[in-house]
Amino acid sequence: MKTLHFALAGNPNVGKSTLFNYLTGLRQHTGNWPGKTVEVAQGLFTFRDQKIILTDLPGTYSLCAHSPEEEAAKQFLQTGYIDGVIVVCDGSLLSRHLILVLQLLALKLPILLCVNLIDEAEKRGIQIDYAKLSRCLGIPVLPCTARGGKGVETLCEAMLTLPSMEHADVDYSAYGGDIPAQAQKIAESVISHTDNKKIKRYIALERRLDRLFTGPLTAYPTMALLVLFVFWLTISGASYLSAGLEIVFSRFNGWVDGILAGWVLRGFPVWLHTLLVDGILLTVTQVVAVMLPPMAVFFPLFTLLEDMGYLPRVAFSLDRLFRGCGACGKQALTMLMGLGCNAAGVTGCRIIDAPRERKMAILTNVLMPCNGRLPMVLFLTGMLTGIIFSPGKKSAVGLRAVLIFLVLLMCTGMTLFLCRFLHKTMLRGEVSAFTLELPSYRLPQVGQVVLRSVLDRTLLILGRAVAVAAPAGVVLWLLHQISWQDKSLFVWLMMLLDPVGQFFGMDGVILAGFLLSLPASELFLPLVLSGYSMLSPVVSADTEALLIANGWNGVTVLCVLCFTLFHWPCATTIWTIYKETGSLKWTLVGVLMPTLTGLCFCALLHWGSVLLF
Amino acid sequence: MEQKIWKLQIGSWGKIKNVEDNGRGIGTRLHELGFVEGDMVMPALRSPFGDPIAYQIRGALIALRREDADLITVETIEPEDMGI
Repeated sequence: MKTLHFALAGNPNVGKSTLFNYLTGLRQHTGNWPGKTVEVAQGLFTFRDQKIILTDLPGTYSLCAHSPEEEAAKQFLQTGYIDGVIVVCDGSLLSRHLILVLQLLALKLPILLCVNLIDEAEKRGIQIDYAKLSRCLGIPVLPCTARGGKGVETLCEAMLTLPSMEHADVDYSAYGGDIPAQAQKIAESVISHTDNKKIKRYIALERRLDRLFTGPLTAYPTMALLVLFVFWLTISGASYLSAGLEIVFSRFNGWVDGILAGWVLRGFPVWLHTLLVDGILLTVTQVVAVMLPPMAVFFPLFTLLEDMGYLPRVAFSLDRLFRGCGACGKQALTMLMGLGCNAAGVTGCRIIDAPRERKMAILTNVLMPCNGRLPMVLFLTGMLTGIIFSPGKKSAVGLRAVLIFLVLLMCTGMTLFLCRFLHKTMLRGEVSAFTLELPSYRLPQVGQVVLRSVLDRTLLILGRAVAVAAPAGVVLWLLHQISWQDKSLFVWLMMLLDPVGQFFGMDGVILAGFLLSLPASELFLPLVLSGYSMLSPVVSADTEALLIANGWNGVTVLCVLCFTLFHWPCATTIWTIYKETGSLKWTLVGVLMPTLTGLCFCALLHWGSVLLF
Repeated sequence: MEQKIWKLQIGSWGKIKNVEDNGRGIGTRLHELGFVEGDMVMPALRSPFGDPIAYQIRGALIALRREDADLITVETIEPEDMGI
């Protein structure tokens, strides 16, 4: 039997992906459009022995191309060979979502309309006459609740019969006006409101939540509290997971080491043994052990906030600030995502329609400290409070929390400043239009959220990171192994970089650490510590004491902190910036801009302190 | 009385008279979002700085900046005419 191919289309936020996931389960993969940065998910499922391929198109408001996503969706529908389109719309927002349906009908494609979220619509007292709607549009109309799987089987049955159905020709111009006006008329004729009180109560509840999340006095405190709470959960949750993973990995590495050692006895080359174990395996497991746990906690939390409808409110509340710098309020969301991982943040910039504003968000995303740099920021702020306020003893948690908050504020300020800079220089131009839908609050589906965010975001990024970490492990190994005049290349690199480092308030070891942690920022501290162990005779189990013995003072800590926050993106992020912008020039800007920012800060701090004291 | 949409008070309804296009394609975008002549609209939510404002239209909340909302003219409606 021939495999049927259907496309899934619809406005953003209509539960399209929920339906897609329900139908295809885990048999799906995300791929890029050829030559484009727009991702589409494809999945395969079998219904009554019929294999069906489903393509989940990006959520679009219309077929008039405003963004690359809409352009791609349109092209796919017009040129791709498909047996039919399933248009998903939200039962509560029928008149608005019928616009896309009517536009698609104009393309003369076989269409199936799936009215989703009917339980939500019923809660709002909205009743829809589906038979009449089907007659009005001349296409099959099927109500369903995708999250519970209600009505999905009937939908599948309709999919099987759709290709052989005759196309009913309905003249929509009878409804008068253009497409939006027709959509309104059709919707009015099929909807009846049952209970006005119900709607009012429901809307009143949503408005009360809105007043809390976007009110002039409450918006920013709730936002700050939520961000700090997510942070705290991420950091404390991740430290347990990390410790566990490290134990598992050290056992695993020991096991591999043992096997390879056995092979060496039977003629396996020794250098290959050390390259595989000390080079590749050690670096890869190190990166995974520190990178995976925070992401595994952060991304589900982020998706949860997204699912509940809170995140668009953040963009709404902060838009004025971004508008003032020529940027878009939705950038706030990509920055939040950047706190999890900058590569994910850069990819997330696709939610910004306007190309100019999208580029701004991509280029400045790295200014938010990702999970890879966060432990470093925590460590440095701890050391700073130790040095300045209470020498010799661990300082109060509250003080560190305030410092971390200040660091985040500084990163946000720097992002806004550089957006304004780009707006005045390289990305000059008129501020693009801004439209943002604030969706209804919904109870999140926790299980789905955790599963999807682990699968979609965490594993994807982890895969990329491992791909980068493995060759980096080889390079690090070579730097340690190859020596010239009794010194390894690593030592030479540190010595050569020393004068440059000194100029910026750091030293050669620190700069070498930053350079070599290009594959993953997590590598920085281990690299610095191993560097000092090679250069100086000081031995100490306490990291802080070791660093202080190697000449670190308050200014050094500040400089390293600044450079941790503002320097080149990690290799994965650089690659992602290149893929998203499709241009070497913008990738270069994305690397140089934060680096120069960091260097300026460090030079100012260092020479300022030299002149002052 | 005709006036710009952003001058409407929060919570009071208006009927859209006209949606201009300033040549940046925003006119079509507004159309697709449901800002169509004859539709009922209500500013529902002000952001902390007062701009943007979220408008209730066709059952959804759509936030617009003042400069974009400036393209929309509405006719104010007395509450007793609404019936809701």
